[in-house]
Amino acid sequence: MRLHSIRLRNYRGITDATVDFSDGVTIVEGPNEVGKSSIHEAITHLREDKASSKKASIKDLQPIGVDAGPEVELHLTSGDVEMTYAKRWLRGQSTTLSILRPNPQQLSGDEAHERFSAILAETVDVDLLVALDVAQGESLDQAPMAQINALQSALSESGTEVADHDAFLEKVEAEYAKYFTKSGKRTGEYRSIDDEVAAAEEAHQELLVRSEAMDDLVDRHARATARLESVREQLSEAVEKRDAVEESVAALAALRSALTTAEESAEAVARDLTLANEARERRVTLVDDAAAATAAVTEASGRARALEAEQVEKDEAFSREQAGLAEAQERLGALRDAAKRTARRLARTRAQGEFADLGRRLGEIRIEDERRSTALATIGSIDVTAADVERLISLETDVRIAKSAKTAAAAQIRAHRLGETQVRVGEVALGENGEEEFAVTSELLVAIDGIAEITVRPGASPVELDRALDAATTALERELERLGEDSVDEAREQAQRRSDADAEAAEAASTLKALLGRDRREDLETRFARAEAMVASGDKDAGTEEAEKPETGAGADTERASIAELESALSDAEAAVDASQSAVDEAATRLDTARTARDEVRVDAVRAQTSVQETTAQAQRLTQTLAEAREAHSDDALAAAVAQAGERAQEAATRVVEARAAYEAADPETLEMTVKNLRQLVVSKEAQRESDRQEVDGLTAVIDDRAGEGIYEKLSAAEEALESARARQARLERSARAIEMLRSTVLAHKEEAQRKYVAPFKEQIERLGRLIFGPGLSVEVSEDLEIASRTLGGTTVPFASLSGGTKEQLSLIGRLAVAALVDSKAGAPVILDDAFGFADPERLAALNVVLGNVGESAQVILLTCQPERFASVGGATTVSLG
Amino acid sequence: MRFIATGDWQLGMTAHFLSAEARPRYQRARLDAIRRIGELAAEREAAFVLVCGDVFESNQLDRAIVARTFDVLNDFTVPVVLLPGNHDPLDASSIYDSQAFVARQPAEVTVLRDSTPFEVVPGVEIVGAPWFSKRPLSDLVASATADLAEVAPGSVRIIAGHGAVSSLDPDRESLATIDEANLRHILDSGRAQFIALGDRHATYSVTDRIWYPGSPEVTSRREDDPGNVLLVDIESESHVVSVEKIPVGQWTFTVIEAGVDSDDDVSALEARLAAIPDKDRTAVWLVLTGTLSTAAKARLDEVLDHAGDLFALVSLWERHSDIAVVAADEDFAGLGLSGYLQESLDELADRAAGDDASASTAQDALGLLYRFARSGA
Repeated sequence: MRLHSIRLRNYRGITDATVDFSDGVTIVEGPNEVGKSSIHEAITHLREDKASSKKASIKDLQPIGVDAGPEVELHLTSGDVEMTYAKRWLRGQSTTLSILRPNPQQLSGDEAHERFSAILAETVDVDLLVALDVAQGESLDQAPMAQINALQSALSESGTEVADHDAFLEKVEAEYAKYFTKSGKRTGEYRSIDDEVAAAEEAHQELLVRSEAMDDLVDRHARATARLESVREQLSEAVEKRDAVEESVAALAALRSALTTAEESAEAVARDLTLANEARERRVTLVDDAAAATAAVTEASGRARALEAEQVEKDEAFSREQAGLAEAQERLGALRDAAKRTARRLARTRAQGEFADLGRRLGEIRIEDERRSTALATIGSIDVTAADVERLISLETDVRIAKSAKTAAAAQIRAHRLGETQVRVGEVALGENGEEEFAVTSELLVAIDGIAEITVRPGASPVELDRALDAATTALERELERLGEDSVDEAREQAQRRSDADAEAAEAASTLKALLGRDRREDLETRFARAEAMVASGDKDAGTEEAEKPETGAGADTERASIAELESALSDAEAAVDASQSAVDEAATRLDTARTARDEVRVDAVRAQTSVQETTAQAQRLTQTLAEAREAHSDDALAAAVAQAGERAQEAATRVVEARAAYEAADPETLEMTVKNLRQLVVSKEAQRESDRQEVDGLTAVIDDRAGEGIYEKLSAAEEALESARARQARLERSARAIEMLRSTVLAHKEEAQRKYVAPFKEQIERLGRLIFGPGLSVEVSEDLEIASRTLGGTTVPFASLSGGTKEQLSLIGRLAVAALVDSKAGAPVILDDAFGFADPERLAALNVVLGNVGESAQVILLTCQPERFASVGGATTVSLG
Repeated sequence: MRFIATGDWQLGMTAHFLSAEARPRYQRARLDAIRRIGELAAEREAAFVLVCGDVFESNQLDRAIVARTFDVLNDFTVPVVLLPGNHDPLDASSIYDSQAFVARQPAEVTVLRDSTPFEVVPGVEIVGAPWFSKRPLSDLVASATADLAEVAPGSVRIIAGHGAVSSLDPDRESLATIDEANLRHILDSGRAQFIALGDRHATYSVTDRIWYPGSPEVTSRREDDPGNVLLVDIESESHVVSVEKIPVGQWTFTVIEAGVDSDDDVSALEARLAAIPDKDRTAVWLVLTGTLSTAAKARLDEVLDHAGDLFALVSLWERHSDIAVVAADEDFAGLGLSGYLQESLDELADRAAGDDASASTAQDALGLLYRFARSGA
């Protein structure tokens, strides 16, 4: 299709304008609102809207204040038909189609409209027409290229036709949907069949197990029945054997009983023999005892008599010894008295000596002690010591020094008695011609009897001197006061007395010490008192003694015999006593011996007498017993009994041996074990029979319970269900695989075809696009012939994410590519209204080149208010509007 | 003296391989066959009917089958003697000991519970070798017949056993195998006149006097002569035996083998199926081998689908079948395939012709392609 020219009259703001189009690029320029867009719009109205149309978009075309309706006339060639097609709307409506070639024809009205539409439909792809007609503001969108048959045929010529197998594909998808979801997962029956098979398998398996369990029960029943039968036989066999052996056991029991009887009989006979023997032994013993008892009586009597004679002897000896002892004791008493008296005299004599010595010594001690006490009392009454006196003297000296210092400072009075007149100075009376000096330290009265009394008062002495004197005086007085003395001399005297007393006391003490020696005075006093007492008592004893023994008393002289003599006498006396004592002791010993001998004999005699009595009684008793026993059984009878019992015992023993032999011959041990085993065998077989019987009964009950339930039918049904499910599964599996393979194969080939199909279009876009975007450009073209993405420098960006300018440029390149691809006769002009507004100068320059290139094979009409933007499009014709 | 020998009734047996619709009909048919035996006995004046084991399919059956069986047997006019076999042994779960059986056992029905000779009619005694467990440990027939004396003229003795005779039993070690030589010896020594055996479902003659009557109604596709009973005549004095095989079964289980390499072969198979009578009582297993074009395979599928609606069963015996599908150009020529569909077809055709596991999937995919393209064309 080629547009040659268009004329607009009374169309919006345009009164009358004609634009001629070149075959290549035509740039229609004009300022805003002159109606550039009207050219684009008018072609559409002309094609689509009848002259009678009253729709708003048509009404809008009517210019204001103009009587005539808007009118468009288009001169074009479509296919082989060149024609002029004109329409006037609203006022003076008309439609005119003038076909110029190949067969000139003139049409008007609806006929013209219909015919024009028909020619277009025959010669040009209306979809292409629309697609390549880009209104203002539409340039960003891609045209729906897939609908354009012209493009498709163009592509089919150069590439491979993508056949229209949609109906087939729908069937494939419908079949596929029976088995798979869109995402390729199993669905519907194909999905559930596995579970169904598994469930059927499980149900089948369950019944199979149940059926086999039933068979197993039957087998067990058969086995148990066989076992029961077998155990019943074993049992009856065992019972039979046991009964036979039980008989043998009864026979054995009889033998055992006979043995026992024989043994018991033997024991009884043995007891009789023992009794007979014992009786005979007792008789012998009794005879012996009686004889022994008679002999014992004789012996005891003899012994008793001998002992009685000995007893008389011993009694006499004892009496003798008794008398000897009494005599010795008498002698000893006399000697002891004599020794005592001698000892008393000696003690008294010693006491008298000591009494005198001690009396003298104690007297001296008392004197010295008294002396010492007196001296100590003196010392105690005097406090002043020699040291105190020393100190007093020192203090007095201080006073004197202080006085003399004061005196030296005081006025001096030299008094010289001249006459008789008594002169007294102070307390001092001057002698005749006496001359004396006085220091006036205090008021001093000078009295001259009868003449005058002169009072001399001291003048003021130096204060320190007074003070020193006062201090010294005070110190002296205080010391005196402390010692309780009135003056120093007094003190000295006292001290002297104390010193003397000290010496006295020391001397007395020394003397006492010498007198006492090592003794203490109290001991001496005690000894003295004791001696004194002794002396006093000695006097008394002496008196008694003398009264007792007047013949031996030697008087005072004798009495006063020397101690040595007395001691010697005492010694002699004591020796005599000792000797006498020994004699007494000896006598006493002899007496004891005699007594013991006498007592022993006496006891023996008594015993012998008792023995005589006892043996006599025993002999009588035994004799009597023997007599009585012999009366009952004679000695011969007893002996005969023993012999008889012995014979019987021999016989019984023989019988026992025989019975035992018979019993043991029956082998009781083996028999016992055998019968025990058989009894147990019967018990165990009975138990086993019971157990087997119960098992058989139990199995029978279970089998009866289950046998009729129809396991076979159920199992058959389950088997059928399983086979059916498995068959269905196999069928589904097979069908699913088939449709899956068909679909994947078909889709793969379709995709490949599509890829090949869009290749020329893609190449054309890339060829043109590289002018703008550079040599690295590639695009992806979808099945719908849309640009899906752009790849530049290795980066792929989806179309929707590209910038506005790039989108516009790619969209328009797409259209230009179509225009370039489509056969120029079948093609349509590319009409671009105010396009490439988004392009920068550089890209715009490149676009100029693209447009020039496309213009070589296709008609391009550019409507713009900025003609300079397309100034460099080669081969372009520029038309100015308005 | 004439009697009917039969066996292996397998009552209660289900045929899970049949269609759901056919299954109950088939089960009913098994009882119907028994009913016909009763009618036949009356019609041909048989003295009794001897069933040689496996009267019931299992001891684990729902006892309702007993009532239904008795319902049929009650109509019999002659005694019926039942021998327990390996499917219904006299074990602890025996159906013969069930309350349902014992309580309602018809007077005419006798179960051979041991090998004591049973005089079924005057002058005729049957010695049975019933099974007591599923796995006997000896030749039961040998045991049952060990002490038999020669049969006097005027009397007839029949042995009823169950199990494989030694010439038939592939498992020579099996303890229960029936010693065939012994059977011959029994017959030859005049201790019995006829031996009827159960276990084999097809009619089979071991010798002229040793027979397997087989099941009166087919039970398996492997049976080559099922569905019969034997009408046995024994001359009482001479002991001459004659046997007549009479079909009573109405069902057919058949295996059809065919080569399918062209549309014509498919048509031939179609005709062959169409010619089979009593389709609703017939189960067909197809063993098909060959190479078919996609279109021919599609037609084969249609043919089989259609047959499936008519027959009790039409099943492709997958294990023995082998049909390859190839994409023939003429199949797709008129379907207007072009562009990428043509390419897809080419690829699938290649894969379908391959040897790998996906070849059959590719064949199926071709079938689909063919179907979709054809319905769209």
